[in-house]
Amino acid sequence: MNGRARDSPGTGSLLFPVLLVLACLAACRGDPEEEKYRIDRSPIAVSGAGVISIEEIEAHLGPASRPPDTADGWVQRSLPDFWSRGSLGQYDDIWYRVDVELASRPDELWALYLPRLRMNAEASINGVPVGTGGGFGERVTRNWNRPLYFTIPSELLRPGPNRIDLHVGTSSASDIRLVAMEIGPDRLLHGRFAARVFRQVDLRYLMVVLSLATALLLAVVALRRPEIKGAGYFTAALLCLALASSDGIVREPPMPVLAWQWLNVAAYMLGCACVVSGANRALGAKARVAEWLAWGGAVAIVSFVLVDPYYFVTVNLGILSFGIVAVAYVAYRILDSIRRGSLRNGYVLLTLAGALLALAVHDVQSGFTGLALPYAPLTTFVPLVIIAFTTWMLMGYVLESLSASERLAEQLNERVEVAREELQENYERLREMERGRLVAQERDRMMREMHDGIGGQLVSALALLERNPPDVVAVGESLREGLDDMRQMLDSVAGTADLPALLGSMRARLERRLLRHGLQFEWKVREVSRLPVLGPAGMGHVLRIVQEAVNNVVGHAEARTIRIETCEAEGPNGAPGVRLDIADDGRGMPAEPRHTGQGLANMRSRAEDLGGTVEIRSTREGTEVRLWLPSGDAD
Amino acid sequence: MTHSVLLVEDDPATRAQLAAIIDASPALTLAAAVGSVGDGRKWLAAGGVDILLTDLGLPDGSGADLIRLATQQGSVLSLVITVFGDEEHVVRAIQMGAMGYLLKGEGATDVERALSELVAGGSPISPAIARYLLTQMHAVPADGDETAPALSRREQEVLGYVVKGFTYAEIAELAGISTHTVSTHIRSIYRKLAVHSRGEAVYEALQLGLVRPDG
Repeated sequence: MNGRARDSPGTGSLLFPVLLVLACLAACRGDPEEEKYRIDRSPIAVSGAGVISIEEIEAHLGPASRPPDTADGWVQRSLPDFWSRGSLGQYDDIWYRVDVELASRPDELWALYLPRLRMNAEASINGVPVGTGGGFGERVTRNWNRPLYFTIPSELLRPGPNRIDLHVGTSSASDIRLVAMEIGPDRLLHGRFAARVFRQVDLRYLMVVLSLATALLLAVVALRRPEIKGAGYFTAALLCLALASSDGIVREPPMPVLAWQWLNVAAYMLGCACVVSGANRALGAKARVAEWLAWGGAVAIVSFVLVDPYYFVTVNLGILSFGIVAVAYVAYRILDSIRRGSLRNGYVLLTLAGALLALAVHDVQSGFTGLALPYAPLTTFVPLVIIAFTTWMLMGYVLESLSASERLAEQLNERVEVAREELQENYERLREMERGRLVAQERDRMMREMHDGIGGQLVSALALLERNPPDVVAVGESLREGLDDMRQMLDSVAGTADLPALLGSMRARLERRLLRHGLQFEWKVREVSRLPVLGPAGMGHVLRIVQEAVNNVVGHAEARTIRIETCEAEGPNGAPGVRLDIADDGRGMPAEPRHTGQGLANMRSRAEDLGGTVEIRSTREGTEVRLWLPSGDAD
Repeated sequence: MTHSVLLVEDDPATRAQLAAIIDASPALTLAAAVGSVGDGRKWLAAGGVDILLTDLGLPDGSGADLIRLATQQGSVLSLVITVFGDEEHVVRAIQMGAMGYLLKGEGATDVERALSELVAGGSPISPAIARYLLTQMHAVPADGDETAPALSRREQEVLGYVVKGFTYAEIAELAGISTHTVSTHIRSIYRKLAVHSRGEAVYEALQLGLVRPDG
């Protein structure tokens, strides 16, 4: 499942460049054969309304301004025609002329179609100008990669010979070329012109845009992931080759023509060197010699062109060959990686490189033998290798990390599951412990309460009973107190948080005993805030504190009344709370009785357990115990 | 005039102690001291009993049945004997018609006082039971909802004082009424509780097979 998910998009990603190459190859096919009128010598006699291919023509060197009107100096030439820099001498212009004989005047729009020339041309028919490809003179418009097409209104044509005058100009840094041109009905010619524009200009434009976009993507990758090898070189290569390719689109360079040409050569050479270095790094090859050669060669040719601007004549073939060698080297590297098994889907890349190589060899061969390159030159398509390479590389990384993250997520899920189970176990254990703790706590509380209450009373009843003679009355009282105590404990757990209710229950249990001791309650229990600290244990604490205070009064104070009063009161830190006063009108506390001291300590400790305080004021007029409890939350 | 007391208590020691106290009291006569629901039923049926003093947990049934029987006779006042005076036992007895409770282990003075208060129209109530009633019985509902016994505002006030531990005399003073009126309020609350629960009690008795529909 995982493996499949990893592989299938990989081949898909490589399909795109392959399709692009196939489209290019298809586009670069030669023009379809069609009826042509072969012209042997001027003037040319034609009949009918077909397309006339002009291959024989007269030529005259310069001047720039207007057609030479002399009869001398005209030479017979065949198209394609080539004037090297040397043969042009001081001139930058050639004038061509040819006569086309028509049987009758055509009744439709005609056109003159120039599939390929260098650099610029303007035409006139029977002395009337029909169009120009741009400027001449200092800044010759660069139409070397762009076909020209001039429409001819039928009124300009006439039966018999029609004179075509064609002015072709170039810059001082270049030569002059002209391939066979065609004249005929617009409806027949325009499609061919448009197809060539698409092949030579639009495709190149697309390639430049694609290169720039990929360069941008790669630059981001190179900057943010330096560990991806070769991305920086490929970025540079794409930028260089995009610049070099733009020469086929840019007709008016924004700089002197020599500088522009040099810049293009330099960009192309350095781009090729970057391709070599980038491929080496991306494929993990340690062939530094190849890189040194590539960079050395590039710098040498660039320097040479700097010295001799007429490189087209001298090193043009070297420049083209350099690109071929570079692509061949990359192909070799890919093959090597496939052999070593370190490149998945490498055959797709190899096929791509091979196709480009064949294209390039064909380019060089045609460039070597003639002037008319009917195919788009190699420079246009070198970026394809890099774009494919980049796509392959990036997709590899993307898919790699995708499956890595999938694996990670799977592991994470497993770990989460394990952790969840552990947590569940821990939780169960904790709950078990908590239950145990609560039971122990409850047992502790019960022990303490039993010890302070009914346990003590049973012990003292037993002692009274075993006395000789047994004090039966005292035994009864002790047991009754025990029972009362038990009832109070039960009462205390009933209404939690409600201090007045606890006091009410206590009074009902205590009052008869107090009456027997001649004591009366002065009951001033008022409704007060609920006290969250008074849970079952808290109620027990308050019960004991009040019992202790009341017992002290009963035992020592010789008092007549006990005032029990509740009110809202602030605690030591200004915290809201409730105060309970237990005050008597006795003689005050004895100076140093041990039991009382112990009892007070108990009261304090219980109050502290509840976050409260106990204050005791004793005077000759009586003793007052003030218990304060917070009405805020238990913590 | 003396009041005849029927004592139903299964613990022989407690029964003997209470019987002795009643016997010794000039205001009371002991009709019988028995230890089972069956015997208690017979004595109630025989008539002549003014006060029923019964434990709840008896070997052949619940003292609550005896209380209900006594209440049906109309003239018999019932008190339940309990160890703790806890709301569960006491409230159940009150629902059957008891007028209060007597704690086990009380001395002679306390028993005599409790019985004489009962005869005089008083009904003992503890703060814990008051608290329970206050939370269980609804306040006077605005829309006349009668699903639960409603307390009048005065009754609520009285119960509130009881909860806080005030004696009847103190309540009377605080509320500006007589002590006797306080007793009347308490007894009225008890009656409401009993009346309300009668339907439920019959249903419960049918369920338990204590009462046959045709009998």
